[in-house]
Amino acid sequence: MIDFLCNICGSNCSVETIDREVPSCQSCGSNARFRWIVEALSMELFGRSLLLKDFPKRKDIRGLGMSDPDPLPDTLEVCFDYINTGYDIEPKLDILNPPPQFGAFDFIVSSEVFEHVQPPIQTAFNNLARMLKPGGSVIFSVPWGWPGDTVEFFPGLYDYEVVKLRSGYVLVNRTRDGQLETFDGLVFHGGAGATLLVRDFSVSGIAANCEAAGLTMTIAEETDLRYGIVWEKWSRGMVLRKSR
Amino acid sequence: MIDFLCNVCGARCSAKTIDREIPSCRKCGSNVRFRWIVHALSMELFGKSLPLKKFPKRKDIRGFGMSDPGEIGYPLSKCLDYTNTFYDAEPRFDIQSPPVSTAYDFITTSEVFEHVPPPIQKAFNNLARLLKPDGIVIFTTPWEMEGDTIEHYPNLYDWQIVKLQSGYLVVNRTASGQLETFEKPEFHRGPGSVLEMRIFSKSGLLANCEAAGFAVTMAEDYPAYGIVWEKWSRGMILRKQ
Repeated sequence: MIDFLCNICGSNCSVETIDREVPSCQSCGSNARFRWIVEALSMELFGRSLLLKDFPKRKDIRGLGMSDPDPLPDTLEVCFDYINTGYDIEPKLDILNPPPQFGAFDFIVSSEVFEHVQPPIQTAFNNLARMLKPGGSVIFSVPWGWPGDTVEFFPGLYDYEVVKLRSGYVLVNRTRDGQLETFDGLVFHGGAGATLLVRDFSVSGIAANCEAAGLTMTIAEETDLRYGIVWEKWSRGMVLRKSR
Repeated sequence: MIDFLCNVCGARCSAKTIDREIPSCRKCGSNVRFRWIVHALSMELFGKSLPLKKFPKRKDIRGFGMSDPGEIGYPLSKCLDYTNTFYDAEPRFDIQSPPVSTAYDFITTSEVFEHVPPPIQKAFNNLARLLKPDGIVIFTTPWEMEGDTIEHYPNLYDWQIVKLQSGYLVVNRTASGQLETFEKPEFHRGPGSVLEMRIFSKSGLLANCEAAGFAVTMAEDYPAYGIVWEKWSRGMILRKQ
């Protein structure tokens, strides 16, 4: 059994296995990824790993969430000058086209979002960097693998719809130069037809995106058993920092 | 000017031009096609051309319409054992999977078959199956004088109309699993609505009718009711042999 303290709800937990995605806190249902977000944010802002409930009220700290998981936004809104955004729910943010007033953030949380962002993905990394203050950080997670390059499933995605046929979902795309393409075997996160997976990141692909955007990438430590944070070798969280 | 009596609403009319589709009755807006449906039905059922308002009450005559114009469907439902049906509204009827009920004296289907998903022969066969022996279909669809029927989507099987920013498309998975896309689909009644599946030709239509066991009589003009056709796209009376 693994004993840990959930840094989100403060419960003492005891579980057989800990997984990036499977809920392991018996009280709030947090998984390793959620707890890592809190730890990484705490380390970036305060230099130590605080429980979420112990985060100080610091309205001078400006933060942005991108579809952050509950219950993070409620607490972060109280502590900081923080706004959680959604791609398709208000307040909306399309990372490929952020409004100009979105800037000068001390931190951005973007967890399990970038694998769903329409290409070109470099634009999204560039916009993250633009929206940060010098010295600001992105608490970043996506599924990623070690070998090879990032694989774009729909590199020419431009004018497209996901269509539900009786036989399943297909994607129909007109590329920028007018060609029609169809794609089968779509993968969705959050249920069939919900959020389309548009790429498989590789670590070297993310590193190249970060470097081009002027961000420094640090991969999460393997484990922090105190808070039940256990990663596999792949798909670990990352902190992307903009230099001062 | 052309003077005529509208057999749909009973109005005396005087129009500069008469067209299959453009409304020419000043009162009810009927066109040649609507007036011909009433004329042809009356001739077939009663042996003479009665205006719709003079149709006798004959609840022993059993028929149904496929999206008939309301000006015709409503009066028919009053005098005959008739129900107007729709593809996408109640009471629903899909000619490609019709109910088991049969023994109809007549069916009216006007400007429908160009929108029925393939295979179209099956739809003609179903018409025939639904009728009594000697039963009739008052039938119209746009058709060309020459050539063969052109199927826009011959392998239509599992499909949707898709609206992209750049316009409408049809995406289809064929019965064998292939994906196909079709640009610039033709719609009737507005963008994205009723998809044109085919352009019939006269010979294609006649072949469909023959294969289903129908004898075909082409519509004739009846100027007293303002019924004047072009050579093409005339109505047809299909009689089950």
